[in-house]
Amino acid sequence: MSAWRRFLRQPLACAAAGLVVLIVLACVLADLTAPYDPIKQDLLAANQLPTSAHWLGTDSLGRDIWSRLLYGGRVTLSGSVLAVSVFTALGLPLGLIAGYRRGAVDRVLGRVVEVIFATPVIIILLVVLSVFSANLSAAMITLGVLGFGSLFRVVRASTLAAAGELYVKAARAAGLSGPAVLRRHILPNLWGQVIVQVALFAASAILTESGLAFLGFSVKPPDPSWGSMIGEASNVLSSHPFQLLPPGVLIGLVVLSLGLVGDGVRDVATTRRGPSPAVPATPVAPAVPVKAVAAGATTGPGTGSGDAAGAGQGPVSGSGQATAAVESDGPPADPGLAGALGTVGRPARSQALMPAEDEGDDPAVWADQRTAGADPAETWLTVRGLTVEFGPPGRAVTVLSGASFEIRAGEVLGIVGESGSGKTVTARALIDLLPAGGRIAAGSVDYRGDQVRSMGPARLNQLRGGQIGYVPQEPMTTLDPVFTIGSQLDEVVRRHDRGAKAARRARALELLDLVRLRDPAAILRCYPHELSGGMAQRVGIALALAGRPQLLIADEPTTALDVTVQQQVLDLLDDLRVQLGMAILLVTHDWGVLADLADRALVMYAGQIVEVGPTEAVYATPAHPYTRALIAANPATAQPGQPLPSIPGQVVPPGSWPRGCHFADRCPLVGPACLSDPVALRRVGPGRASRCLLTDGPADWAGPARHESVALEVTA
Amino acid sequence: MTEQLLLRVERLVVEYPGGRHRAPVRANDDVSIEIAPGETLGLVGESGSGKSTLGDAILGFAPVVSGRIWFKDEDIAQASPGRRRELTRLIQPIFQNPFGSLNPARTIGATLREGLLAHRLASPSQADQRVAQWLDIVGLPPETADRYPSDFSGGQRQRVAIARALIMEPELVICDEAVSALDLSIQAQVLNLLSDLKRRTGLAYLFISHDMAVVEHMSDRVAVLHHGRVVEQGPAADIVNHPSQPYTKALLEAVPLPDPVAQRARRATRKEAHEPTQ
Repeated sequence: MSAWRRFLRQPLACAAAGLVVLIVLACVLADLTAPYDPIKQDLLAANQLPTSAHWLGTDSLGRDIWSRLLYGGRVTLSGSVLAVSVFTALGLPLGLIAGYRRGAVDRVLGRVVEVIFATPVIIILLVVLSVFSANLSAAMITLGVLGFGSLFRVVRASTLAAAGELYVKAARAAGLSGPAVLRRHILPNLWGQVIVQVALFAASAILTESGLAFLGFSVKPPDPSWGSMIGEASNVLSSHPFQLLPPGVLIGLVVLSLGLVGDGVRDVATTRRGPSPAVPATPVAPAVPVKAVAAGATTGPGTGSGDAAGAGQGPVSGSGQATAAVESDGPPADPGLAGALGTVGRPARSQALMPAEDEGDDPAVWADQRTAGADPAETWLTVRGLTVEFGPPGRAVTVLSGASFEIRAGEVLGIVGESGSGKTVTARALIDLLPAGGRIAAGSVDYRGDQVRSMGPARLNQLRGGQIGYVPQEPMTTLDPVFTIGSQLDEVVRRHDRGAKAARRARALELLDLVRLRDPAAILRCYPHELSGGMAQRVGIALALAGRPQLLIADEPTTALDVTVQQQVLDLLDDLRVQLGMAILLVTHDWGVLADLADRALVMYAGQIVEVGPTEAVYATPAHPYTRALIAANPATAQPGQPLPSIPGQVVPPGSWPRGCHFADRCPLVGPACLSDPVALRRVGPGRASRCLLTDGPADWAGPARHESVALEVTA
Repeated sequence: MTEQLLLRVERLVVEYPGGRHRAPVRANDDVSIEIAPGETLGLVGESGSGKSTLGDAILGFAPVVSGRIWFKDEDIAQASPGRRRELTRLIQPIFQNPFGSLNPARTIGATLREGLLAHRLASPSQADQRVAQWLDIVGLPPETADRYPSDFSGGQRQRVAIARALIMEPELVICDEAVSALDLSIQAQVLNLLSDLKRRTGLAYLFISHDMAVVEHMSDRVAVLHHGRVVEQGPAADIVNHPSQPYTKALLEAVPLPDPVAQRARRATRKEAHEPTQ
């Protein structure tokens, strides 16, 4: 079990658990481990310090302290076990029932626990002990009853949370009975917390027993228990202080160890489950035959979800598998590519076609991209050979490989691609805002003559939110729920306009008005949860506009929104670019969104730019097979009754990229040349480029569609 | 005619109870829909329109205040928990989020077997065979059964979710935004898989989505939900080509067209229409 293995990786918790087991065993086997009878007096040897005969010395009646500790542990520990059993037997099932059934059962149990919490434990225990004439078992059962509320509450809360999981709903929809759902789907989520609670309660039961024994309510003398030994030692504290030490230290050690075990278990329980141990340590993707890949049947390591994940967590937390693949079959690291791109624009490299083994993109592409627009001075952002890696140096995984493009004054450049294509990483790398673990490994980002990569933190902060605004994907999660919109907006406004409070408020109102929010004054007083998704995204845009940016990076700005709200937000962005003369970098997975707003389209696949060009031209005559497949897979253009033209297989995860064309294993046109060497981006028309060896241009697509439906490889 | 219907929802009202200071929320208000065997009914609307609630009510997860849900000849709106469990064999859901709908601590095989064993549809060894067979049908290799959800991508997990629903050989499958979380190329694969399975098994779908283009592609008939009410219902082609309600029209026009020229023309018309009012 991997949970065991994770626990074993914590040396302190393991040592503590070992110590507890050792002490319990020694006490249980006291008949064997104790050198003396615990009640045998030897008055001649009274009050001795440790000797070779009495390892921990003797007490005032000359009894061996070591032996008394072992026998006394039986009483203390068995009392503690009894209390813990009652505690668990009540807390776990009642907590499960209350959390799963809710309603009246939950309310009644909740009240009962509240009443129990309000009772003074020690007084009740003393009453019980006086009624049952110093019967320790009765006291420990009572302690379990009085304490079970803490376990009940923890179990109930965790059950409530687990019962809300979609997989619990799915299990109920599969026809499982309530007890089966509890046992198979909810209980496994709880064991960690239950063990933590049990460990802590066991510790407190030991302390309680010791306290009661100290007061003389436990075993009758001369029988020992840990607490009674402390009581006896305290009688001779002034003359023989050492006798307090053995029982005191032992109780302390056990209580501390139980706490450490609980800590360790909690760490294990809160660590999210990684890939199963069944996953081989070698890269899976290359082991799968190409045919299986084409049938959409890869079982590669999780490619991560969402773009950020594909780029971020994927390689980082994701897997050593992915990392290992880089060395084995990935292309050599890409500094060569970046170097080649560094020479962009020099006349020496202006031939139209590159030799196949050259790793660099066709420089003519970039010369063309520049001149196809108007004035080169109107190019605001120039990106060359941008390469991003995740993970520790030496084992880093490249997630973006040599991206080069530019954004011109007032244009909307749309980046489109699937999860793991590197589109979000590209957008965030531009303002050096990569998720943790990511870094720019090569390439340059030039913003109107300034190198972003050589900027200091202060200048970079000025650029972000200043000249370049950033609109995140999920506005709701990026707004702080505890502050009003007004205070969050003011915080940003204050950075850019150091005016009086009234002036800043006017600016905040102006920004909200700019994003067409009705009644801006009321919005300022709102908390994020009072806004709808569309309103929150407008606030997100207002925040990005506070620094009067010339370039707005909108990262999947409408993905979380309904189509009708999406349309309004896209309309707003379209208006703003005209009104404010902004350029927009629009990142999206939806070709339709790109078509709606973008002047130029940049298609990404598996960390590379595969096609770039004016949106209309790319749509009318897509040059790269992936672009064509992406547009064809859109249900809006599908033939009713026909299967959708789908792309078989899935995106190759970073770290498993082939040396040749990244799209090769899914491409209907793939040939041997595609697999042998990296494919360069080549010019395929005015302002257009494509990373495909087989399509020299849009003309190649004339005739019957070659990307026929590859829908389903379903075998009956 | 009527007795041939697989599902008939009649004047359904669903209300989520309010709190001490909150009024109850009426999520479905007088909703009536019908699904014939082997038919796909598309259910569209914005978030909050009550489309998922309707799916939940049919599955027995939503508090039905009044109205009837006829499944064949039986009103299941207020079915007992025991009867509900039996019905799960015939009515199965596929949920939106393939990351949440599979228990991360259980193998794919355990998840797929679960329903079969709960209904005693198969012995444990037969169940393993059925699991392997269905993994093959949804395009996953047999060793998938021994692995955990964390080993798979969103598209692969959604295939597992489809296998879990269909392994019970249900008559009605409720697809609640079943492809919304997937990438476009993967979405196309999964939609094709769903269409193909329907062709082969003759099951019926209630296909819930906010994406009109997806609904149009998948459905025989479409119902449009707005504020918990059905505002329009009819054959998919009619609804798409001749929407009678402004809300339906707005939904249709909100889906961006992949053709940039056509999309720009549409925006221009839309802006012209809005200009005088501003």
